Amino acid sequence: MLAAVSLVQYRLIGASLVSLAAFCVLEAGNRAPFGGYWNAALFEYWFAGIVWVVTALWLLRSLIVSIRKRRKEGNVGPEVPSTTARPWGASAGIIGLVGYIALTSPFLTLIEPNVQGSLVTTRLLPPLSVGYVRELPDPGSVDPDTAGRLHRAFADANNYLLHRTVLVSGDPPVDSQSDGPRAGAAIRQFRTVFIFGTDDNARDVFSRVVAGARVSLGIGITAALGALLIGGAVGFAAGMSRGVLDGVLMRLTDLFLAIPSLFLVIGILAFVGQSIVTIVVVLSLSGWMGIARVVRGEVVSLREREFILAAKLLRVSTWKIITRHLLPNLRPVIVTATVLQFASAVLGEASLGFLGLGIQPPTATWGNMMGEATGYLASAWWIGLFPGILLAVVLVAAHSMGENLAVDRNPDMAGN
Amino acid sequence: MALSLLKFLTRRVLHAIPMILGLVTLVFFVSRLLPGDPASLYVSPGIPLRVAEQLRAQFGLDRSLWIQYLSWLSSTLRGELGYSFAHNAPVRDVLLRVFPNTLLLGATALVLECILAFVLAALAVRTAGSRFDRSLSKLTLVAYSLPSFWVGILLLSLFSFSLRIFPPSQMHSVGAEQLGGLAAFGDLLKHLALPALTVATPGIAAIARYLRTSMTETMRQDHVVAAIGMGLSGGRVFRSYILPNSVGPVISVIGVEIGVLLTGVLVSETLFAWPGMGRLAVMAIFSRDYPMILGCTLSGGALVVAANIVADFVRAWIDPRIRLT
Repeated sequence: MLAAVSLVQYRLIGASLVSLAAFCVLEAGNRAPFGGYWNAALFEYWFAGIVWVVTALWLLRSLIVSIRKRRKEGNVGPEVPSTTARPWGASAGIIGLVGYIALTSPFLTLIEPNVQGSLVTTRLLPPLSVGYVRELPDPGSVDPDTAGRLHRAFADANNYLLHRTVLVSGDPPVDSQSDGPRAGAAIRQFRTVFIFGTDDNARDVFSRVVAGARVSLGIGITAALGALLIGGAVGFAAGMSRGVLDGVLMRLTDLFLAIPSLFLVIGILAFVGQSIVTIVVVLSLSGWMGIARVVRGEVVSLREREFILAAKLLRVSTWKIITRHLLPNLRPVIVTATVLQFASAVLGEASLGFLGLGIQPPTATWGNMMGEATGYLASAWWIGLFPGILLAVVLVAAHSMGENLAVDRNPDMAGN
Repeated sequence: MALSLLKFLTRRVLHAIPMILGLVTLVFFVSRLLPGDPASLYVSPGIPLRVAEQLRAQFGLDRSLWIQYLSWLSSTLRGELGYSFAHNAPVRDVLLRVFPNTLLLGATALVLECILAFVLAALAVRTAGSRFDRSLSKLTLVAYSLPSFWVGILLLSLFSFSLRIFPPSQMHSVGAEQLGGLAAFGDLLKHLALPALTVATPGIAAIARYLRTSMTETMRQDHVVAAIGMGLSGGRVFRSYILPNSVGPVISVIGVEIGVLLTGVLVSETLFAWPGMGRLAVMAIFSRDYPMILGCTLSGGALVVAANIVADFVRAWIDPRIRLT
């Protein structure tokens, strides 16, 4: 359905795919790979394009499969849903949906998240207000000397993706005289609805919520994986070694646990400055302790179990014991801990953004949107409400997913 | 105080010393290893190199890292946290001035957490398995997951801006000094309500969940079954058998929750303009007041360590078995 919604943005999708395809062909023929044609700003469009194409192919395939099935078996009636409930449940579906929105976000919004509308007519509009959008091409566009049709297509597509001008206004466009030399050159113009209203900079809150999903979830996932890397390594090393190393590593874990994580995070951020990379690193550094403890506990209990002892007696190599017997048994614990860490990393990033210490505006994250909203609580409730709802939904889903996974592993906990 | 309890406490305090040392060390190396030299902050790039060198010497930055570390260690352990340039006062004095406010907010939130969590858990256990119990379990999961600043924003827009029951910010109303004792106290309580509730929400949910699990586990144990079998009343069994045995593990959890609580305090103080340590830390970052940031981080860590000692002590006081571990 989301793929269908994004069809409205066919021009963007087309430009993204053309740009990606041209990039691949050009890079393949390029002597110095990732030299001439690499443009990091395009990456999100390419990525969203890939996701979109994969989704479209997958939908097509499932359509063909279901048609074939029907032809073969005639009308068999609705499929019986499987009765065994998966541990992931609805919460994983919610996170998946928000994740999908995050991945294809450039195609799901009609107005770019950072585009400022007219400050006179579109500032602080309540939800469901009507606005008008005009898209103008970049005047000094393609260099006509560019050689080759492929180069030309690449440049055209990139130009559309990166340099088009979007004018947003609360009034219908009366005349295009104000466009000056570009009069009448609008690529398209349409009426739109600000579903979630607009903020104090006349930006579309809906677009920013959608774009913020990408940053917030991306940071959450990366920081959770970073924490898994550190915590897994520390916990595993501590669990496998008895004595001094175990003691030292666990004291270190206790030490990090003693510092209130947000204090540690802002303490470090104060020195290194805020960017996506530093925030991911800092959130990983402040969140690995839980995983380390859980992994260590599980390793310690596992390695005394009979099947490991049996493997040792059979002279199975240590490496094989670790990879064949230990790690697979650690997986459920690790997955649960990482899901919970994902939730706390998303919360951490949002808290930082809220305090004004996270990713800086204009880049939208749910946290910094809510931070900006605090000045308008009495007058414009919609700025902070919608990112808050999404954040809350994702956090609740992640926590209940972690809970389901834990219950799935240990049914004694059910009913809590 | 029983001798065993005293012994336990001594051991626990001794155990905390390396923690504090480690904390101080960690903060030092974090601040020194990261790019950015504390002296360069107060120096404009244009000044002569000689003056810059003098300033560096004044900060002690020309000495070797180990000497710097030792002097930092000795001064920090004596409680000297440096000089705050934004406040034009020693960091320690500023921290001591705002600490009572943070303590008030944190302690109120903690009391709120314990009482409400206990009520919720007791209700849930009494009605175990019912629809009420199940919806309460879902509700606490949601409350536990909600970001505290969002809870704060909702409370603020509901109670301050729509209903106008509670004031939106600060600790006292304008002119509160002239109010009488009781009226001033009422004014303070009014200002305290929303920030404390904001801080307490996730904690209430977390502690209620732990308490419920712990109580359910205790109820299955043989001695409780025996007590019921002997014909003791439900209330008596709950008070004398279930409760003392189930709070133990939860008290340790509360000790750990102090860290979460402090994070909540930081956010809530910023949102409600509560003049405490958390707001101080956030403002210190905006004014690049490094000694203050380090001071806040250090005292926050020390608070958590102290809270854990208190929690362990209470636990050992309730349950003599713990003293032997």
